[in-house]
Amino acid sequence: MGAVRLRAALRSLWPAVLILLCVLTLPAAAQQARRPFRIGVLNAAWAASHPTVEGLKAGLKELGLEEGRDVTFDIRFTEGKLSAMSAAAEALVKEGVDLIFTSQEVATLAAKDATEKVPIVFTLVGDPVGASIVATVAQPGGNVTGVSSLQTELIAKRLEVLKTIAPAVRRVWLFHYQLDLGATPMVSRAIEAGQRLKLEVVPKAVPDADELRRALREVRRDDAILAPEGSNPELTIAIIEQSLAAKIPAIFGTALWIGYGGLISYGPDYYAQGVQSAGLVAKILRGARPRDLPVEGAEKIDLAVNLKTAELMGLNVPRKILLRADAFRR
Amino acid sequence: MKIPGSGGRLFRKYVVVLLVLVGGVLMASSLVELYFSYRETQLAIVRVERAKAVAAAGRIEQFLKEVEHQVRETTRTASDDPDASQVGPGRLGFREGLGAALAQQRELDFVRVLRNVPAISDLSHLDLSGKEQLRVSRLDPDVAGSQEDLSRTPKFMEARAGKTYWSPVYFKNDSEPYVTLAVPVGKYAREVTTAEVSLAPVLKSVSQIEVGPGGYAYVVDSLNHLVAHPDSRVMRDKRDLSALAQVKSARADRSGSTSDASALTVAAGLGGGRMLAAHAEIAPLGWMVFVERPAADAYAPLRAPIIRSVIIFVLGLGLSVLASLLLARRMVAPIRVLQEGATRIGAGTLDRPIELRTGDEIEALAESFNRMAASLKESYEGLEQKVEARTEELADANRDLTETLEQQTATAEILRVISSSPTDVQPVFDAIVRSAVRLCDGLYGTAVRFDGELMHLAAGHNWTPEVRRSLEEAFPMRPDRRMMAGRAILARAVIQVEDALADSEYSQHVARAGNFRGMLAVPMMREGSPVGAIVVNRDQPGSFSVGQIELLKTFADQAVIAVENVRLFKELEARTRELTRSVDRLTALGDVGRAVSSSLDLEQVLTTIVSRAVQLSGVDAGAIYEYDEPAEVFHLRATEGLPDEFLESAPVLRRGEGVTGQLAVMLAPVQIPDIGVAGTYQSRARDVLLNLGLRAALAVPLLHEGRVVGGLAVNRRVPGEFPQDIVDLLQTFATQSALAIQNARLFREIEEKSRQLELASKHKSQFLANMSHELRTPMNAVLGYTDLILDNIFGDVPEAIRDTLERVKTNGQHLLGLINDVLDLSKIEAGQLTLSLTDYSMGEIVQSVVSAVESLAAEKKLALKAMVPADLPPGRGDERRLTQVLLNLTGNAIKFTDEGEVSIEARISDGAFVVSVSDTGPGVSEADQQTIFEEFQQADSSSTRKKGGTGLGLSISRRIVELHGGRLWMESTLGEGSTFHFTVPLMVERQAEKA
Repeated sequence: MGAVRLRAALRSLWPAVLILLCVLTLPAAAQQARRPFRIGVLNAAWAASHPTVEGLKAGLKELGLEEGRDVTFDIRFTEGKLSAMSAAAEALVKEGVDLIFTSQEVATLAAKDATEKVPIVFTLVGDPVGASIVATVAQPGGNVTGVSSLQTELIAKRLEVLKTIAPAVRRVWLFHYQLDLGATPMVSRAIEAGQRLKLEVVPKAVPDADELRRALREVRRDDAILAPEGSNPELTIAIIEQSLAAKIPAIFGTALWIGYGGLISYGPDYYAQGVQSAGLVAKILRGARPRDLPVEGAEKIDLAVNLKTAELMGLNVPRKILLRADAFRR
Repeated sequence: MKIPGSGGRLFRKYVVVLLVLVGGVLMASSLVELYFSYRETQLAIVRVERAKAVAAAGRIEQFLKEVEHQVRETTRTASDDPDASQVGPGRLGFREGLGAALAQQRELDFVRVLRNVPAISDLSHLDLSGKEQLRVSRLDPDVAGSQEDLSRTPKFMEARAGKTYWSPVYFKNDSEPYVTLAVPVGKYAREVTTAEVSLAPVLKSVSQIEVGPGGYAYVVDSLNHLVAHPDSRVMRDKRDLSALAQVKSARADRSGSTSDASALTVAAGLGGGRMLAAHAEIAPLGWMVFVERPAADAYAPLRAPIIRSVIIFVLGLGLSVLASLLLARRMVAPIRVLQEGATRIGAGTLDRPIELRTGDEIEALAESFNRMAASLKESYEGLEQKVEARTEELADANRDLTETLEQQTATAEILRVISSSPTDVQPVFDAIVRSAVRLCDGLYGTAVRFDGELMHLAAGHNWTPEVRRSLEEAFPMRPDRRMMAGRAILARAVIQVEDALADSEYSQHVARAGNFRGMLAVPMMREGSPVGAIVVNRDQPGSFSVGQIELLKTFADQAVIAVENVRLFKELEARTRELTRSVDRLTALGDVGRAVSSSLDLEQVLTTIVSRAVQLSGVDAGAIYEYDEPAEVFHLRATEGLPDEFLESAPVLRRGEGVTGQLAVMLAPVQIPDIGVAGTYQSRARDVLLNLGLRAALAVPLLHEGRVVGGLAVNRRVPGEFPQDIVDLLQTFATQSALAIQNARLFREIEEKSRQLELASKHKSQFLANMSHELRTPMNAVLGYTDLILDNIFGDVPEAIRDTLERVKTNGQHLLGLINDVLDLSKIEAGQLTLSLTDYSMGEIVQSVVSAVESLAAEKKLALKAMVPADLPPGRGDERRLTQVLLNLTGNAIKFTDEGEVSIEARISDGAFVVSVSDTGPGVSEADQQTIFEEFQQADSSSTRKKGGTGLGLSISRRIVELHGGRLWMESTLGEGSTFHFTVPLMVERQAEKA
């Protein structure tokens, strides 16, 4: 008799228990809604839609971070003006962004100078250790990590590719932007590799395009040019112009330049680096500390060749290049 | 006894037992249910984890297989490659061409792999002997024919054996995980292609596994090294995870079933904490994917069941409380009836049986109680008798005990009395007799003391007047057999008589008076001799118990102790008294000696002596007489304890009168034991003494050089001889008194002589004064007439006569001066010189003196100077006498100075005139300066004759100055002149006392 009554009592208690459970779980649900993360972007591009940024957005989306809902972007591009970088970096810090996403060495160093707290994820940095951006690749230290474009690691391979497409070349001019500190290890590595490949490597640091143009006058017909990636895109453009004008073979750091008439490129893709860096950005936004995230080497390294330019320069593209090439321009 | 209510202990016990039962069952069922639901939740979680792990493992496996496939497919030998024929073989020799073509083809193949598989960074070709022939790299320049020997490496050996080889994981740049893949090449030739494969894609897929909050997935390789983990920090540690429980279990589990239950492991996670772990194997490599979630997650769904269980538990508990209350009440009611019955029985009500009709064991118990009550009733009666008998026994024992206690108490009481009464034995005897009578059940008690000859009654207790009378009649008595005390003392032993009436020897008179029968006597023995006895009499015939006899013996011993104590105490007291007396005597003699030596007042000294003598010798009165030997009478000098009446009756005693008067005859101490006895004492003072109650008399002589100088007499109220020590003591005092009297006599003589001398001196002065006066009057007449003659009053005087007359006049004047001086001096000595005090001017005094002696100085061609300040104030004093002093000093100076000068100076200093007279005369020697002021003295007696003078001047001058309260003195060096100074106060209002 008592048990029956007890059961009845229990039945009448169920709604109360359910309400109790709802109340208990509410705070957990409330925690889900938070404001979107704000990512500051800093580079020297001429437009907001720099391939690295586009790659980042795509990468984040793939990792479940929707633009607008989960992340917003505050993009500062200096239209090639490197001197404006510091002010832009400080503006971003002042805005209180959650993370700064940079491209290339100068922008990264500017951001690093501007803050020691806001996490910084870089892309397109040729040698982050050589440029004193991180302590080591495995343990960056500080508030900076990112994706290395492997400039130093790839320099020998670039010389090899250059020689493969232009076997007659005996001397290679290595022009790099004067302010890119990370270029130094690359230069020594290039000279070393040049000896193995029987190439004379002539390194030349230039401050701007005009100086570069003057230097380019010294380039002879049998010479070739190695145009590494750097913080100053104007240099690359000048090299493309001169290379085409004087029919001098030149190799570039990324496939982007092949579209502008560059002969050949070997190196990581901008967009791919943006995608790759999204992994780091997502981890940091979810609580990881930059110092704990090793600098990643660019994963996707492409070879691109402009067959039209090759033809213009009278170069026969070997089968090895054709097989390896990820992209052609005809 | 308290009857418990519904809250009784038993009731509570029942309720608690029921509660525990019901509550326990409820709780157990809840716990079981919770446990199972917890297990189910765990399994559900693990199932999900496992599914994720399997999926991840599948993906990774797929990735690795794809890589392997790509490498295998694209690196077939050239002959397998359909494109190989296209590479211009025609121009080469077949074998060479084939080799070169193959090499070229391989390079292109490798390039293709690199393009197709981004995860591969390097490809190498190893020939049959394990030497590297080609390496194509994504980052580094390609190398052909490096000939590096890799034949001993596992990758080559495994692949040569036809297997696919996956190396352990290694890290590039410390952060990028890589493995080496090695596969055999071609169908026949055992060449090997190796590839370095980046595991970054694996890492990514692992880190992308959604495990829930706090959860994570990771991969371990065949050596249980961590290959992939979302946290690069964990990766960096490169931990060997073989020790982790979940890894061990997974490895053990590898061959067995893969059911969800067996896959469940709760273990410590990589980052600590309890984790629910599930795993899946990546089959070809022997790697494992682990998925872990915090074990606590499994509890989250349990919250609702727990709440449910608690509610059920509480309700069940409430119901069981109700049930147990009802049940317990039913059970407890009959027990309470039983309890009440038992309480009744306990209280002694054995007649009312317990009425209980429950028909169960409790009713049977009630019957048992009733039977028990009946048998209790029976046994009570027997018990009462036993108790009575036992009580009697105890009373007997108690009596004995009380007796012993009483005896001990009495002994102690007596000891207490002994100790509290050290000087008197009576209280002890009283206490002993009292206690003896009480403790021996006696009628009377008697204590008797024995002095060796007679027995004396010492104390008694309970004596009736008849007994007292008969005893006091009989005692003191010699010890004999008529009395018990006598028997005990004679026998020196305890004597017991059972019936006094049956003992014919015993004094029947006393026995009848006391009406007693049984008797006990115990002797008091000291060093073997009887000193007394204690006797106890009873009204009934019969013998005393051994205990009582022993007690009485003890009492006797205690009595002896008490007697001894008192004796010793008294001896001590006597010795102390003696000592005190000696000390007193010494003190008194000291006092007397001090009085004698410190005072010449004879009466006082003698009073002190007689007072101390009376005090010390313990007599009642005393007197000291001084003996006038020539008159043969004693004069009373001092008394103690005697009234004025006595002084009047006999201030003087004739030789032979009374005791003192006899001293002059006997020259030795005389005493009369009782002056009341007729014929022993003959003196006028007898009646007075007898009236005062004084009977005994003693006198000791005061002797000086064998002669009697006085007597010291003492009287005592108690008649009798004086002991020798008192006589000796008084003789000591007598010696002192004689000394004092002798001293006083000598002093008296000296005093008398002095007085006579003084008188003689006075007479002399008076005589001188009178004589001077008598001499001066005729001298004045002589000189006056001489002057008249020289002034030619009586006509011209011839030159010869005039010359003679001049001499008469000069000598006459000198004589008059002498007489005046003597007169002054004698006046002063006789105290007759008085100053006539007037106001004066010191300047005028000096002036008058200067004009008086000017001519004298001029005569001797001496310069005379006077230095007096103009502003000297007026003084008060005897102008004439002061002039006399200055004149005397100046005159002396001129008189004793033969050449040079004499100067007078007057000034004020400290409110006094200071007048100095200096000369350039011969000076006065140090020794003469002392005597020069004495009468009739001059420094050089030879000069007196030359210079003349009485030698009284300085002496008189000094007296005059001193009468003014001033001072006269001199300073001089022999041969250099002298200076005399005197001071007189400015204002002298009266003459100084002593001149």
